[in-house]
Amino acid sequence: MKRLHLILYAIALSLSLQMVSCIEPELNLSGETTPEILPAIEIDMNVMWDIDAEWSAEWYYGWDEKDDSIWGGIGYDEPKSYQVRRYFTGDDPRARHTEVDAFSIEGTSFRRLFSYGYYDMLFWNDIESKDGTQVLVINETLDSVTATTTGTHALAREIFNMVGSGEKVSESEIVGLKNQPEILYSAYTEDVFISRDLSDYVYDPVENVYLKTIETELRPLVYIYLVQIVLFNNDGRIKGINGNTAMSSMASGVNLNTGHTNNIPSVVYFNTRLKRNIEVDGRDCDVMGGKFTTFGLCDMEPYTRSDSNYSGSRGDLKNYLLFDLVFTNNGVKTYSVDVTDQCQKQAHGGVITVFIDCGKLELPDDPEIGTGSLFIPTIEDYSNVNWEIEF
Amino acid sequence: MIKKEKLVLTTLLMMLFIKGFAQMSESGKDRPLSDNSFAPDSTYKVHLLAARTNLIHDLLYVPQFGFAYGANIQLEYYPRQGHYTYNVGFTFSNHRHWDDYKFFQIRDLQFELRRYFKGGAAFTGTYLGVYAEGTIYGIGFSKTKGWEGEGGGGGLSVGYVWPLNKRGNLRMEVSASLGVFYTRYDPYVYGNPITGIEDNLYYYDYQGESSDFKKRNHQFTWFGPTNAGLHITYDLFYRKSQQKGGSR
Repeated sequence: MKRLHLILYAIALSLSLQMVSCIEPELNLSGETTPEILPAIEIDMNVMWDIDAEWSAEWYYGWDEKDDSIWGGIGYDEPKSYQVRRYFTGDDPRARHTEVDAFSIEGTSFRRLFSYGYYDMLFWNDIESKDGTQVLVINETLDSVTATTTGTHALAREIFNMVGSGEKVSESEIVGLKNQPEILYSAYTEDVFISRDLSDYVYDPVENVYLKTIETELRPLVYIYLVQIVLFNNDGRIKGINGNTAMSSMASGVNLNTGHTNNIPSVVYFNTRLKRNIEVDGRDCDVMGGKFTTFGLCDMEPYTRSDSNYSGSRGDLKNYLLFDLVFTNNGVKTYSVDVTDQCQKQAHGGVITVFIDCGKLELPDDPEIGTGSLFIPTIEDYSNVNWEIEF
Repeated sequence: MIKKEKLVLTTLLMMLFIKGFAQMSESGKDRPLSDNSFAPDSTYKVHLLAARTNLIHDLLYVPQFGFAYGANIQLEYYPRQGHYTYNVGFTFSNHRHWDDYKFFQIRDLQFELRRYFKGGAAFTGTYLGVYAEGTIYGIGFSKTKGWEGEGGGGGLSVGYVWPLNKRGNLRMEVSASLGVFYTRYDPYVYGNPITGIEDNLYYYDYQGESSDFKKRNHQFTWFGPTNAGLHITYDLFYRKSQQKGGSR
């Protein structure tokens, strides 16, 4: 009987085990799965190349290997890495940014987990300067990110008093010049809604994530201008150039969120080279040429942010191209030419051409008293030099 | 761990059964076990415990699913005398065809009290029984047809038992049951029923608010035939009994 009892116990135990063994499949409640599976958002950024730039003007200067080595290529390069700022605004798409998730990515696509609610997202490219010196200065706040540039040379302020370009230089004898910004792109996407409705997503069974792809467009915030100054009738009067060139009344900064340029004019300094004996309209000329980058004109780019529209004013500012010429008697003069029309017609970059009849230029009288250039290498080197300047 | 335990227990049971069969064969060769015609004052054996299986449960075919073989084991305890026996049965099937979204998993435990009309502890012929059962199940036929639940019921059973061999230790039985079965269950589907996304998960077929969800919110009651059986019974254990003269 003991054996019988043992068997009965074993059978009872076995039946109990079988009885409680799990029934499959395990069932889930559709609403309960969503809080545990945060969706991953895949962001694809397209770099916008077809910017509205006017490149149809006649280009005499050319672009040889030396130009390329000095200033790089004429066009835009695609960045390799980007900064990302992710602002979570919860359930209110109009809420102010109170926190930011900052990270960088390689390439133009990335995948990341998001919480449910609204996001604003800002992207801009990392700067890859050859010498490791970055001109662009990024100023970050939770509300917006702006970019400005570092300073470089200076200019005697007389020139602006004379040309009335709009730069505010009342308290200083000189005007600081700004370096050219590196190429900068940004994309700002507002109100990215991460819903709890999984039908908004595509399920990736390999990685077991719900995916939503958001495409955003990176637009350039820095524009490229090619500048050429055609010197004709130069019968040896212009000996050469020292490379000092600048463009006035360009915006000193840009808002990365909106792409809108500020209304603080600045003078952007850049270099030029002189190429001799270039045929321009059948005449043998010398041509100064170069490239400069800029945020563009002041108060440029209408924008809409948080449903508010701003069209920009494009204030009545004149753009002057400032450049030095070195005369045969070693005298140097700084000249200024109004290129406002060309700049405004080519607000997103293009070719700016200036023709100078060298036969009408007068040699500086006494080059011994100074260089004659109103460009000042550094602020410390400044000394007040007064020159009569022809415009 | 549970699988290992099951394996060990199953092996143990098989060994004990085999051993029991062997002993039974040696000790009771060619002696009818339920025969009352023993000589006075002689010792004889009467059955104590028999194993039974319902071939219909073992070889079940389910429309929309297919062949769903299972294991039905019943143990019937025979008292020393009288008309009543006690029966416990367990049906187990565990089919999970994930690729076809088909499932047939049954765990059914049944208790039955039988009264054989023939007296004298013969326990053959016609009987009438009363049973109670409890079941848990998971049945799925397709992506959109699946049910998981638990149920229970009870009713009356009727059957007829007859020996298949001379000794009577191997018997055949037919039976049918009539009663009530009540179950609470959840229908389920493959993929999220709200989003339609097939994410390799099975979901309750429920599209309301999560906070309002109640498990086993569906119910079903069945009155009518509840079981049918074609059984093979084999005696496992016997008890010694003494004939004290006269018929019992």
